[in-house]
Amino acid sequence: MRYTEDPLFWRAGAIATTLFMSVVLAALTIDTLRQITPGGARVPSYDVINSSISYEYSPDRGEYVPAIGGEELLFGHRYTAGEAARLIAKGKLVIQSRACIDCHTFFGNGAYYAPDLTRAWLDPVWARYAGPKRADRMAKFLMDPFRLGARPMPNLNVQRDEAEAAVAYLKWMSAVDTNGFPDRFGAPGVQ
Amino acid sequence: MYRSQRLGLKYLGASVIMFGAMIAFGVLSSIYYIQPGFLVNIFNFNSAKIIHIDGLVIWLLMGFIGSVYWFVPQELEREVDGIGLAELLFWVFCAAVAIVVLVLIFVQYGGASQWSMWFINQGRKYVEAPRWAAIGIVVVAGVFAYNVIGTAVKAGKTTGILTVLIADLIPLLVLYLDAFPQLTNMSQDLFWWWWLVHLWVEATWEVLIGCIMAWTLIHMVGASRRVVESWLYVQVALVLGTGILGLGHHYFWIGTPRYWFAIGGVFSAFEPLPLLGMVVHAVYDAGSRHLQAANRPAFYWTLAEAFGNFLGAGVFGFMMTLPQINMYSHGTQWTASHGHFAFWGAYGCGVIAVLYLALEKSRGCDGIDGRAWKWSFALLNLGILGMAGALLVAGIDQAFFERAVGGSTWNAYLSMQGRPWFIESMWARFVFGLVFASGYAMLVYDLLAIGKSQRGAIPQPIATAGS
Amino acid sequence: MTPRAMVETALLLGAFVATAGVYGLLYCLWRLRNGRGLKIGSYLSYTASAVIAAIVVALTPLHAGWKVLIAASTVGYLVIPPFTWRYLTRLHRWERKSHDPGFAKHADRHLAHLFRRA
Repeated sequence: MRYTEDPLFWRAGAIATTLFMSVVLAALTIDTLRQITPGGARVPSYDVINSSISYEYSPDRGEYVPAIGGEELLFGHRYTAGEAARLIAKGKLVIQSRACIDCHTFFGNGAYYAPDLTRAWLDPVWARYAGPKRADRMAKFLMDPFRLGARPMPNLNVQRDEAEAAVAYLKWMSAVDTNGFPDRFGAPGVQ
Repeated sequence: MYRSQRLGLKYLGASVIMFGAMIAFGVLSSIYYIQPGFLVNIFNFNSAKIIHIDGLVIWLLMGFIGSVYWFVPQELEREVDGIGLAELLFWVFCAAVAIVVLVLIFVQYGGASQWSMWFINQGRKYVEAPRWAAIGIVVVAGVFAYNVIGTAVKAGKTTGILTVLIADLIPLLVLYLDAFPQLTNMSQDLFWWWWLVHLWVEATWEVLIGCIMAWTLIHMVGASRRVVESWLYVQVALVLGTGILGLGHHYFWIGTPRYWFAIGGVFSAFEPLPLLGMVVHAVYDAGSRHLQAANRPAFYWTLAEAFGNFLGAGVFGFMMTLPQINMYSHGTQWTASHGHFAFWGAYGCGVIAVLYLALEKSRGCDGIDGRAWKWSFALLNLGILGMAGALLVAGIDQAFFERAVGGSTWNAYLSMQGRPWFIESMWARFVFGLVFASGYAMLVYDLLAIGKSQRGAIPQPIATAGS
Repeated sequence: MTPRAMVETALLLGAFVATAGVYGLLYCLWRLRNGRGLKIGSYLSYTASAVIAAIVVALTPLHAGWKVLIAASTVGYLVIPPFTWRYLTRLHRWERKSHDPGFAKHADRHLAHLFRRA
């Protein structure tokens, strides 16, 4: 009998393959978690909400990349690192409590019934408002959504403090380096 | 019949009911797309969708659990250890699912507080069930694992298939622990969330359904144990060999490093290869038996499993897996097209095959056939093909206009949703959803009736050995 | 990559795997029934799959590494049906032989142990 006809050969293959791939995955996981810790090159620290954020084309990388600029306060307040972390943690709780991910997508993950929110802070809909004005308009929208298109956003009883936290979350999230996703967001000439 | 097999039948019955709930909320979800403003502020889209996708997970899990409770006592020729506790927990599980669904329907969401996380809605896709219910699932799953492992220990023996199942159950259960954390950093949240979702549906669930299909082949057509075990090892090697690092195809756009493009893209591109092997195996088995089997519905649903898996997961997945395509297909109806087809092909068909096999044996028949199962087979598969096709058209339209041309802004999204092809695709998806639902109705009718009448079966006295 | 190229490439990739699947199916049916039409059909399906892969390599704007991957995949899709078929037939043939009492004396020790365990 050839060894390929022996089930134990294939059993050994299954065990070896699984173990090897699992070890590789574990090693990559350790590195990835280090790289996506807030404050690194890929994921900004939470107090980025005190700065202006834009999304610009990088010729070196051949894709759009978030750019962090000078001071642009959110709700007229300069948040310390601790305050920003607490505010954004609350924002995530708001997003989960209302199950936003079951209508919207975040980094393209979620449901497809409503727009992607990865760069919502930078959306041209809000482009006419700058800095604290934009944040305030977005918070008011969350508390009392007006109709933007054929598909209305429901009123989810978001309180003012919750709305501010959610907006802060969206601003922080817009500064995460997602390897160019979504492509050409808000680019000139693109509606 | 062993008590475990009676429990298996209960789980399989519950899975059919959850399958129906999933379909009902799926049809409801599809109406929101074709009726703007439908039930807004009364029962929003996200509430309907949550019950639809969580219902998917629960009906399949119940089907898997039921299948294992059905096969294990036959495998070890003894009653399952701890069966009394398992029987009690079945009712606890059903009650918990019912409570969670009722809360999701009538309460829907809470404030931004831990209370909401614990008792209403955790708001993470597929694992929205509140924490108390997630703890309940861990308990049920833990007892299930104890039942399986404990029985093997008490019996002092195991088999190849059972050993693979036990080895698979442990990571499957550990991965569910991602249903609990509430992480602030979305990159980190999604990183771990994909460990749960991908390493379930593209790794541990594949091995689990492989074990269930191995048992099905043994009991349905008398396949040689050595042959199915050998094949199972081959499949585990190939599926986990490609699927574990294929996880990386979810790590292109969530803030994780760029090396995932190469790793995720390469390994997920290889994922269809073992699925082609499954198609060959299915045709070999079917052909060597000249398409004859005593239990014809189980046989044909097993065939559908192999083909559906290759088409839904393999072909539809491959289309969108390379990063240069995925940049635009990501987070569109294209994803939903692949998801619907893949889940059906990889898992839905397999659970239905076991349903028919278990019914045949429990009704003491020596083979079953009929007309109704053919109608349900045709309607369910036609329904899923139609839905997947409609969502594919909508998804490609969306990837082109919203993402590639429009830059994925709100305006690009909203204007795209009003495009004629998109709207027509949503209508087509709704219509094929109704076709699918009618196939489900026929399935339920057939499951209730088959084997009970002279026309469909050759009833035999039920053997009482092994109780 | 232009939007149109993105859609065309995706559809080509889907067709590549789908035709490979048709080849696998027709190959198996040919081995079962020995029909000349099935043999020709399987060759044509694989040829179609390979041609589609060639189009992807030559004409789509995918990065070079992915084109190498597609080219390598054509080999995988070519060999999986015959290798799997040969493996299954040998496995079943060995299984039938092992039921012959005279054969058991020559069975591998591991396999005999496997039978006792099951």
